[in-house]
Amino acid sequence: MRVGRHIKWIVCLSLIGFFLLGDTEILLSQNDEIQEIVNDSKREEVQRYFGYELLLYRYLTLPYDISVNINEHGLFVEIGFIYILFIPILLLLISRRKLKYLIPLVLITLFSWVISTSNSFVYSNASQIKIETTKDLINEYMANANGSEEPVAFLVGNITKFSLTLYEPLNKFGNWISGNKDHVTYPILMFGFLGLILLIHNLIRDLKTNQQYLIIIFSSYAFFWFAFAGGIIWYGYILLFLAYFLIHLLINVLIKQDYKAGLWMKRFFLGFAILWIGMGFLSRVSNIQSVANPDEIGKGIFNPVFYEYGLGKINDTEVKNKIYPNVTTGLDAINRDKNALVWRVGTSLTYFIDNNTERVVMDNQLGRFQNLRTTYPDNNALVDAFLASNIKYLIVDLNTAQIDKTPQRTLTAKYRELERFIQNNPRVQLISTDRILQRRNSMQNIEYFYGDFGQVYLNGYYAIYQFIR
Amino acid sequence: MVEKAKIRSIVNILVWVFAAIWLFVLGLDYINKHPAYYYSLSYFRYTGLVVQLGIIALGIGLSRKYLPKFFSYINTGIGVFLVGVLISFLIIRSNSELVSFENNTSDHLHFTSRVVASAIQLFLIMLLCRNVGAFIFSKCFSKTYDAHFIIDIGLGIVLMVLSMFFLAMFGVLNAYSLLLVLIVFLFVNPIQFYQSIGSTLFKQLDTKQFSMAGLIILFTLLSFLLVNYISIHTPFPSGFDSRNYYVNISKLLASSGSIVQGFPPYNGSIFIATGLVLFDQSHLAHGMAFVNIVLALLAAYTFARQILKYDADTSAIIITMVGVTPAIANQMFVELKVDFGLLFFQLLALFCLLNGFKKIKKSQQPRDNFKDILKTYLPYSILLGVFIGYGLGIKMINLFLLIVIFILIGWEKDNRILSIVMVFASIAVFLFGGIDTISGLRQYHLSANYVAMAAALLAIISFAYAFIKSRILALRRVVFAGLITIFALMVFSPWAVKNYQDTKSLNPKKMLMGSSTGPEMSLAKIKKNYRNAQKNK
Repeated sequence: MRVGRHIKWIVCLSLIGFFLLGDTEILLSQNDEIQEIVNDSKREEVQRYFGYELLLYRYLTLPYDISVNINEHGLFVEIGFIYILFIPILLLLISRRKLKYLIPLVLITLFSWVISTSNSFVYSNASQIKIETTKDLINEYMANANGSEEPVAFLVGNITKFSLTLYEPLNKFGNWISGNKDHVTYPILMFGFLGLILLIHNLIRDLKTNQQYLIIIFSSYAFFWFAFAGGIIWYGYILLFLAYFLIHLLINVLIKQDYKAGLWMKRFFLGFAILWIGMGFLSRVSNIQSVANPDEIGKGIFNPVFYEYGLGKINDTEVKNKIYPNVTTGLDAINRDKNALVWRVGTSLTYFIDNNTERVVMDNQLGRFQNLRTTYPDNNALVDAFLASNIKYLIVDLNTAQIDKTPQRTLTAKYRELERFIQNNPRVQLISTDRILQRRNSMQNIEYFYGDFGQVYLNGYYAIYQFIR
Repeated sequence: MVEKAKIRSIVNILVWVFAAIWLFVLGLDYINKHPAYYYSLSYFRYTGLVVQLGIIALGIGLSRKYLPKFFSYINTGIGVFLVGVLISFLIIRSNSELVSFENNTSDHLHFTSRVVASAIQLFLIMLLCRNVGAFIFSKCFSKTYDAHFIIDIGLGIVLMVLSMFFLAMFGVLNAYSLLLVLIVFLFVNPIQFYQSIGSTLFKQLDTKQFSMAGLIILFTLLSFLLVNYISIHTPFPSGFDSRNYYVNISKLLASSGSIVQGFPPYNGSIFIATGLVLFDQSHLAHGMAFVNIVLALLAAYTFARQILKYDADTSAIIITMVGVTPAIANQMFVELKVDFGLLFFQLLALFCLLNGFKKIKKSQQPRDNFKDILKTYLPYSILLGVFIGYGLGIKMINLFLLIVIFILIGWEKDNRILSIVMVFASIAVFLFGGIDTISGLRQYHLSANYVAMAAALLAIISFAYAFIKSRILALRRVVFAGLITIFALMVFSPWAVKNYQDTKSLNPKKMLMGSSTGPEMSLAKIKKNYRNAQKNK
């Protein structure tokens, strides 16, 4: 107890010290900030899982964000809602009889919900767009939305308006102590973890040993994932199991404490478990990737080209050309020229390049290209620079800018610069692409052809270029 | 008293109301942001398949009660395998009407036979790993731990991958050399191998512990796994990371027969490469990646049953819930990352650790001086070190688990100081080691260095306090943690040597993380090459 008291003082003094250390860094000059951001490829690639709001709130919104998929969406990051639903509710029910635990839990849950939903979006099914949760955009959406056409989005919009109101003072407070950079987030996280360990130590004394271990393993691993993994789900896969084990443990604790309440929570958990298993099965079998063509929706259990291959009807090369039309033309050219280096912007076509670890220069977020472009703004000079280093080929992912979640759209800006370099440049020759363009011919009929710039009919996935001397 | 009861009652109601509101608000938000579920349901095209699977599931469930003899045939490894073959055929056939090209039953049987063949090949490889793992376990660890097949498989995988690593270091990794390794795995205990096949295929499975609902849940999981297993029978992987990294490394390893330069340590990719090296078939490499999730699910089930003492049905529900999670499913058939392999070894390490704690507590071995402490903890440290070190060779993110294990070792019911030491020490190590630079977040934390220094200082102070307060207790934990680290580093050390060869640097970070891949092409180099080219013009 004595040690605990001393530690509390150390924590308080340390936090005050960090607050006094210096201002948070939120007001860089405009040019400095953009210059700084442009060259930060990690910000574009890794931090899209983490968010771009105030630094402190990026961490505090993480549990809600990863459960509801606010920062990044897609099947590869979807872990479901069961964790965020049951863990807070069970903790609240268990702590009902002790207001000193209940009230902080309620406040933390509310606080987390308010800051998460106020840095989120509302998805409009009718217009198939995301509306960011700012007051103006939400008010505009609510003024025009039809509640009967999309009741869920409409309700969420109303709830968001309420949370935005609560967020106003929290936003002011957040901007006062934090920003894009700050001194306080790490101390808060670290000492918060220390406080959690001390609290857990007091609370779990009466549990069985292995139950205690489960709670410690979960809390510790969750903290390290939370603090250092940048919101990347697959760095914390073990937590997906541990969290369900924890939920079951909490239900058992509640049953011991209040049999009726515990039994109801067990039933709810089983009910949601069956629902989730059904949803997961449905989601995988239908494997919805796009809703553009209603005739093709829900046919996702197998990729049709791979299915054709599995049935023995086509071979490897035919699979490649069906999935990436014309790709063998470009890949054969690269693989014939065994010593030539390749500059790769996104795509996973590296797999098909011989000795790719020795030949492929990776530049997924165009950080390297941007540096080169700044050094050689002239197109001819830039091509000469590539060729002088034996870089004879360029592979571009035509959807590179799609992963750009940065508020300043820095990756998009770099990608546009790349397009400016390539377009109408006689020394950058297109070898192959799967992008389909359309134009009217002399008979005024629409004709389709493979190309890189023009009126796009089908965006495609890749383009392979050769630099010409 | 009456007042207190009233307040309690009001608080009770408020909490349930809050819970209901939380459910409502969260549910709405989730549904709003996941329209795909709506489309999945309204455009569901496989009702026939679900009905067929439902009938089979119900049939199996009811046969246990009403047709026990029939159930006893299904309730064996070979029975489950045949049910799996039937499910696979039905899944493949269910898609036949939804594609634009002609296909018939003979095509579906052809696909099913590919799936069956690959499953048998993978099963044999795993059985050989288990055989050698069981042999090593019986010679080295049988007095320390209770035997379990997941430990055997884990040990076997470590030995196989390390063998492949050394063969590749000498540039002689090919089908013959690997086959030789697997033959050795067979002949270390051929009788055990033969008995394993027999017991796996024909012995009655212990399904009495499951209710009918539990059996149906397991059937659902099996069907789900098969949908994904069938999907990986492709000529190349479909995911971005699997093509650029994980399976790409495997392909380069298999084609060159030697270690691939660059990249962080890649035990996972070596494991995946088994399919390519032995059979030169991509789908078998994908299958090796898939085996990892099956092993992870088995390890999680074992952990739930044996450590947490959860009942069979609950354990089955939990592993199924995780298995069907889209983030997990996506990795099974698209990305094929090595994280499942890491997950298996993480669960294995925790399983061994918690079993070890129990055994150490029960043991009468004196632990009051350094020699006795070493004698007590050494046997437990070796196996743990092997699994953790191997995990570090899959992904460095396993450092999280190593630190968690230190915190667990430091945990004492009546003494929290050592856990606090571990907390501060781990924060200091991570921040000084720059773990947060990997995600690019370090640059935003202006006080990172101060926090690291403060954590280190507090770790030293609290450790000194703990040592003064109870020298023996502190010594036990430090020795245990230290031994695990030593053995983990020993198993990891081949990668440190490889990384040194790649980077020519003794920097600890470079020896742990290796170098990036691709030709060295810095801006300075490109500028220099350009200047030279212009001069020569």
